[in-house]
Amino acid sequence: MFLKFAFRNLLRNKKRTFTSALSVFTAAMLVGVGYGWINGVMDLYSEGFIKYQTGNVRVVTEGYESREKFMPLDEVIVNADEIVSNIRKIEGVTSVEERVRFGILMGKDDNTVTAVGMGLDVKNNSFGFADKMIEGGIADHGIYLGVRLAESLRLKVGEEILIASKTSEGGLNGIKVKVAGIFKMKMAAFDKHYFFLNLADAKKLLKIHKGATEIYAFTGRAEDSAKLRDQIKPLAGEGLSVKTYSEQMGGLDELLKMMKSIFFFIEIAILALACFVIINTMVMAIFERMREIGTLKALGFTEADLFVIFTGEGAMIGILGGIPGALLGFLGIYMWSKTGINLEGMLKNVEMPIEYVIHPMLSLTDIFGVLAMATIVPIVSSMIPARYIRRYLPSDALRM
Amino acid sequence: MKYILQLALKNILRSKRRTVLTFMMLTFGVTVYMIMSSLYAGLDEVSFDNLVQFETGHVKMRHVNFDEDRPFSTDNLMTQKREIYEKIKAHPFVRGVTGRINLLAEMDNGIDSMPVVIVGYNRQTDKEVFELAKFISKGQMEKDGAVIGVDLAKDMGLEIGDVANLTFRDINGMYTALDIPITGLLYSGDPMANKMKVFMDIDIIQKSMDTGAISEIAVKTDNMYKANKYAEILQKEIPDAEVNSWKTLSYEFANVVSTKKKAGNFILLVILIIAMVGIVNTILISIYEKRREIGTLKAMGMLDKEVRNLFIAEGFIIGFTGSLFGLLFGTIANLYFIYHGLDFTAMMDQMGNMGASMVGVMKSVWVIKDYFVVTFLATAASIFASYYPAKKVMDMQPVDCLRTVQ
Repeated sequence: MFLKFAFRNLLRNKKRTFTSALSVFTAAMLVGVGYGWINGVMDLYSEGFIKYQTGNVRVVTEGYESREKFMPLDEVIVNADEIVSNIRKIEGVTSVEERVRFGILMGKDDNTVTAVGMGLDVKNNSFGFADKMIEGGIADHGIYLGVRLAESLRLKVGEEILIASKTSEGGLNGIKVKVAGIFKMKMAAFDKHYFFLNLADAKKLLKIHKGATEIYAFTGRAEDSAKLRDQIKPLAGEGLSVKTYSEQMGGLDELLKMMKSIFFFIEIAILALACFVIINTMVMAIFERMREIGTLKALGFTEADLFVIFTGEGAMIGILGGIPGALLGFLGIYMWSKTGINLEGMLKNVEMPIEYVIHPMLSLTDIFGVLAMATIVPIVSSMIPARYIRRYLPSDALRM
Repeated sequence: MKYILQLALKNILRSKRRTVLTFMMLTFGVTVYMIMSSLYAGLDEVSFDNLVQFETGHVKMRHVNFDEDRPFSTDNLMTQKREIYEKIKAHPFVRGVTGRINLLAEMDNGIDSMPVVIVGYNRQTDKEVFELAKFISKGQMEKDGAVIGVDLAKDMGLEIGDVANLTFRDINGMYTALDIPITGLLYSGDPMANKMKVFMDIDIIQKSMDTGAISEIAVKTDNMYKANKYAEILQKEIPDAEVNSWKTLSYEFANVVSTKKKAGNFILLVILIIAMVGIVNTILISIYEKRREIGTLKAMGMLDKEVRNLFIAEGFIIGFTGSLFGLLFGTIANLYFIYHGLDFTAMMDQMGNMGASMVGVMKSVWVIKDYFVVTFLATAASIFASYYPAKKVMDMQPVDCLRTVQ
């Protein structure tokens, strides 16, 4: 009955009710969109790192880890084959890759650039560059260049280039290779600086006779990384470092988590701001209807009853505005998640493993979280002005 | 007016809790804005200074077809011509002119190697334009030695006196190697310089590259803020080169700065909106609570607009006090950030170039303009916010107000 009263009271001043609900609607929509956007971007960072840089778990020698910025070639995991085959037997592992990375100066004609070469299984790898080729295709031998690297060196498919590098033995070696393909991964770091070649050719160039410098294990779920690390450690043995993606990212992972928390509080603040409008509306409503409050009290309504009526009124304004606003925000996120948002202009010079096209997303937990916020915050806000009812005796209220 | 303000002040002090809560919102918002504004300003100042000191000078001349996407291409090199230097020096606003050559190389310490950028500089004329010597933290610049960034030295495990091997391609595309002793370490505000740059005498580089060409001519003028105008003048005289001011060359960075400024202004707007809504609430509640007093004042002869002004004055006092406290707390916080700074070293290592040229410790600077702008805006917003509820007072009839029981 009280909620019926509250609902009828809403309709007595439609303009004020509509304006208040609209502000909550806008805020809830912003929160819905903002949440989806932030979650999409943050999760993309983590996924991007796992897929393109760290794997769920990576195995390297301890010496490699300490000199990682040089991509040392003398820190080889000699029994890599054995470790890889043992990791493949672990339940939940979707793929395991052996890789060799090396940094060189690449020069052709007038131009010289820095480049990172990666030897790996060109057909089956987490980069999936075979599906992202814009020219050429997978061949038995040859190199695959990032599109901007190819442009910089003015190289086309079929042309040859000399690749010279330090080897694992400390000397220099060079091979002449044909450009078999040019890929566009829509990530500045890879398109501008990376080239791939098959593992056997890379090991021949770098004179790595047995093993590899890095082993990457993937599970498909970031949450399983710690468990996988613990399973791999005994298989890896002494002298090898086994780390999850989060441990490899170090401070960056902590920073991303902190940013997610900060955005959560910003979103609550936005909703709270909209609820100030509800407080305003309810304060005015209470003072304007003081005589009615006196009448109801005189008729026997308790303070608690009146508290429920007025809280209900304010809460309804908030919920009637907030839930549709949040739902519209979710719809926007859903549509964007299908088309993606192209941030190439902004990201093309940011050399992190993040794709240009971002797909915002919301999990079921996030959706319920936003709906809960859109419900609870208006209810709590309405309680603040509803407290004023307690101050007045029925006789005083009737005299107003 | 004084009487109205005194009355307003007394009214505010009657409900201290509500008043304090309201102005605390504004205080908090203003404090946060002051801290962020000073941090951004500190970042900008350091970054632009760095750009001018190490990268651009005030005005830079490059090959007319300079390719930004292929900065180390030898097609970008220009022949040094004495008449060009003389044309530039003839202008009264020119304070110094120097040529430099930049190339990509690999530095090897015998175990590991990493890419570096060699900057060949003229030992006589470079100091007329750039202040390299100021940033040498250890050792010195010598004719037959190299000065390298401190982070580069640390990564490569090199000290003064050690010999580094540099490999690069000469003008004909052949790989050539050079062994050079380290004679100095550079510590600047430019992280790129600290991590990647190797400064050497231009003669050594040109001889190794088998060329007398240069990558750029940098010019120092009497006023870096007029650099755009000076660049235009020089461009007209030297049409077969590309002449730009540091502002044009740093456009990408300037975009980041302007985005940050927009973000800062947006935050200030949000803060003001939040504070305004709080003030509207407070004044509204104050009006409803004091209906009898309003009736009394009107019955005693106070004009409607005077009663209205009373409540506007309440809003003004809350807003002004709130912003003053915000400025005070912001100043105290900024003292820490200006003299101690925020250490981002660990984060910079992970994230690399984030669109600003700065080393690990970020320090704020005083932004005097903020003190005036924020006080004015916060106070104006408070007056504006209190106007709407205060206007309601004008429609109240004394007799109705006096019938209210409190």
